[in-house]
Amino acid sequence: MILHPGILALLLGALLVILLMLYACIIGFGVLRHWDRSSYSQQQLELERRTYLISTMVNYALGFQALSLLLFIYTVDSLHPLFIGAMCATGTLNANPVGWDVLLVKIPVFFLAWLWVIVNHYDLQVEDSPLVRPKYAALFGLLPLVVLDSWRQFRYFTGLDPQIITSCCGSLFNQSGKGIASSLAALPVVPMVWVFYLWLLMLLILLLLAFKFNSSALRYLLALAAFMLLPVGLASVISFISIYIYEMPTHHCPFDLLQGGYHFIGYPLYLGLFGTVLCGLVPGLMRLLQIFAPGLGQVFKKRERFWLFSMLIFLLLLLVLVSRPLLFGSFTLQAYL
Amino acid sequence: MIRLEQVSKIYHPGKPDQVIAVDDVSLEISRGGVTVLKGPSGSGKTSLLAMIGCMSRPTRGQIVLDGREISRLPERFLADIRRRTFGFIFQQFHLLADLTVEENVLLPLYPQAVGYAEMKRRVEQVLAPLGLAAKQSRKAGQLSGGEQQRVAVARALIGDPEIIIADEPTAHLDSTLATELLVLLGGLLSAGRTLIIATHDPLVFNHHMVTQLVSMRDGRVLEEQTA
Amino acid sequence: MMRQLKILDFAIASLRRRKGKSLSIILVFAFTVAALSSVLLLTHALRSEATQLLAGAPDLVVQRIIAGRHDLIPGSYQEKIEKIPGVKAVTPRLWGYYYDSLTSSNFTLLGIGDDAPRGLPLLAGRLPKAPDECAIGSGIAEFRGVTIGDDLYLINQENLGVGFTIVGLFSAQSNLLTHDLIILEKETLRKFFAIPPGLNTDLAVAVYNPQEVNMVAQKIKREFPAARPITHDEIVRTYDAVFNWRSGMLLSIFSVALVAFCILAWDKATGLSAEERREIGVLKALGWDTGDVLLLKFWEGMFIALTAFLLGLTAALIHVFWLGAPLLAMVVKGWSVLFPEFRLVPYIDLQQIFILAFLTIVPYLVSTVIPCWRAAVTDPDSVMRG
Ligand SMILES: Nc1ncnc2c1ncn2[C@@H]1O[C@H](COP(=O)(O)OP(=O)(O)OP(=O)(O)O)[C@@H](O)[C@H]1O
Ligand SMILES: [Mg+2]
Repeated sequence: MILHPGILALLLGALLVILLMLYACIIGFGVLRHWDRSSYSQQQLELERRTYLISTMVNYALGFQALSLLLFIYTVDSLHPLFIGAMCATGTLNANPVGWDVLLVKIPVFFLAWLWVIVNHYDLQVEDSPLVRPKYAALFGLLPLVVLDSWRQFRYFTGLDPQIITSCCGSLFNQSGKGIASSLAALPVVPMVWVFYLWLLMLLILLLLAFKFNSSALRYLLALAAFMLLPVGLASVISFISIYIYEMPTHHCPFDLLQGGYHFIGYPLYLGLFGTVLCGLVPGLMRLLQIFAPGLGQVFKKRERFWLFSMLIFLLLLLVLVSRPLLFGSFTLQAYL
Repeated sequence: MIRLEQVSKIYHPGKPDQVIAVDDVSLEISRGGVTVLKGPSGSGKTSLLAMIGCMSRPTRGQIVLDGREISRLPERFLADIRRRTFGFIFQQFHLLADLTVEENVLLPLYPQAVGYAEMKRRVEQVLAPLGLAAKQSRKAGQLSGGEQQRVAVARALIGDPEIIIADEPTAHLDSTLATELLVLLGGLLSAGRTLIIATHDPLVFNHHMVTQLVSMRDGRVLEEQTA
Repeated sequence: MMRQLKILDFAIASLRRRKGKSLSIILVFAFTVAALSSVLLLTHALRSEATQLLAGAPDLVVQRIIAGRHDLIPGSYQEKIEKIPGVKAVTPRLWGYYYDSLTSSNFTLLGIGDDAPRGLPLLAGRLPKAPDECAIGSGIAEFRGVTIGDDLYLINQENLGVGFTIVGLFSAQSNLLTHDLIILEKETLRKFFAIPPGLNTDLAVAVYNPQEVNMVAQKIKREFPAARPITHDEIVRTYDAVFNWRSGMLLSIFSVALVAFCILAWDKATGLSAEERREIGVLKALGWDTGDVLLLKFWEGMFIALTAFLLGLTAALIHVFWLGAPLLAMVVKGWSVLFPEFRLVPYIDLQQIFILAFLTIVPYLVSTVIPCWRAAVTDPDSVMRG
């Protein structure tokens, strides 16, 4: 194992997040068992007060989780000189087979935790908090994921050995290689550009329609399309966004974007992508929950435009960041086709 | 405006140290009047006031405020009602001694969406009629008892509440200051507010502005007189 | 937004009212941060010094090992290695350690020929040209109290005193590299150490394609079983691993300090004074919700944590870069043999700061969650009683 300070910080953070979530779940269990909205009892009052503790702890856990996602990428990136053949985060991730699995849990946990916090926020604004039970049940579902995330991260870092000879983005995202990463990189650029832009266009149209019409089906569609933007967007980053930003036809790495050499363009880019996905999911999810909790609809009605509007902003951010190198960059694929 | 239906407050119910502080009280308080709860120590006045003022929830019964049943609302909604509808004057003033007069008066406004300019304006508006304008930036701990009581009144008024709740407001004042306070409260009344006062001070419950006098003993209402 | 701002405002004001308590927490917290940051900054600085040092190092160094000990390398090695495909140049290097009984310290003596050494920038004066000239590092100038124009006396292999005129002084950005260095002419050095002609300390090998270094190293190993080729990457990696490990170890130790601090923070936060309890009661009676008080406590905690963090970080920067980390000298003893006294090049690295903030602020916030919540759920009617 490598005792890098970043690794230490991540392991500590993971431990604290587990502690917070575990404690939140234990208290949540008590709340679930005894919750009785119609009761006047002192016990019910105690339970109501505990929900504050749970919310606070989950909010903190989410905050730390978000920061640790950032720190994870950072650390993995800064570790690459330790591994023969590693030139960026990809190389370090390859140095231990579970490396990619960590990201595979971290990102879903990140989204799920956000959705939980948002739903919780609105549920607390309804007089009878109709979603108390489903919320805490979901918390129990989130806990194993958080533990899995921490466990994989722990396994990943403990399994890292500087002797390992690894392969980096050059070979992982090599168009002629095998595996998902390579096939993503090998996706033909022109059709992928089309898919990406058509998808964004579709999202934009759905979004504008959602602004105009109050139909639930529209919101479900929007949520679905936003959800699918995640794979579409990530595939696009690897397939063509990266090469236009690096201005190199074979450089497909999704992490180098985050480095200073490329003006940290990756941060706003991923912010735009993740933000669009998240904001797009919220209105649909709230509509779905409204079926079971009509009170929630009353509360959320006034806030829905905020989410739609945020989504619009993130979407435009993504659009601008992707289109700029495509339209104004000096790099053209023509020369290489 | 406020209707209490068979309201009870029991501390530590079912335990050996159970206390029935308020026992099956039904009461109707109407707008623009002065309601006085009187009774000996321990008769449940404070407990009843706390429930009316949305500070605690009853163990049984219903409280209806302007047609809205509030007895079982979660605390955060009660807090919201509390700061929009009620102004409180406590027996021990409960000013924060090392805050200035202005900061003390502003305490209820911090968690609300009121801008700094508006806060400033309201403070001046509230302090001037109470003769505290010059003392605005003095530490509350350095004021005399009468001044402290007036600051407490100003603080109760800062949110422009409909109802003022006062628990034993004259208990810590000598008779001159108590009379002064009653004049002040009378002024609030004529400004269209509703007053609910708990007291065992004859000076208060014998006062001519009282419109409803509720006598309590052992948590029960003994008799109710309306003027 | 307005609400957040005003509650933050109120939080700062109430911290100011409780100066004694706030300051004591801030100071202890800042001390913890300073300790952690010093370790991290120091090891990171040492690492970047080492990286700089290695930047000028050759792709491959070949030593000869006899009976497990480093031995002088004969010229025949050089000729054969030069013939390996991919090798650009082979340069014999002549250097050695000199124990100076006068100052009881070790100096490094390096011989140079016509080829000026790489990676030794910023020279005041010039490199030695005549047999009685030398150039020295700043550490030696300090130890011996000499400067350009003076004579430096050393005891040679035959136990005779030899004087060299100092013609150059290193004032390199990175002191690590040149601190204890004395540069002589190659032949002078050979005579000084009485090294037979044809033998050298080691060989520096340059290759055309850096990716082929490992292959070249393998070939050398096959050809000369006694040779020990060390690649540049290997050195970098070892250094990196050592530094990461070192700072990790130290961080683990200081984490104990952090835990101790968190316990203190917990204690401070739970031990609400009667006055604070009453204050929260008043706020709740006046219409503050549990969430508002939680927010107040969050901003209080954030303010304390950030203030302490900035204070601690500044203290660590001063401690490490200005004062040369005297307080860590004991822990870093292992290095002080390697690198005597030196000045580190100040730097600020965002990632380091992020890690430090994560390591210190997060545990602090976590340890105050429950006490803050306890305070926030005070009964609103508590002030009406008693
Ligand atoms: N939190 C509590 N826990 C237990 N008992 C309580 C609590 N608060 C009040 N009591 C009890 O309830 C009864 C009514 O108390 P309350 O304070 O309402 O009386 P009061 O009429 O306001 O008296 P006073 O005139 O002395 O202020 C008393 O017997 C008191 O001891
Ligand atoms: Mg009382």
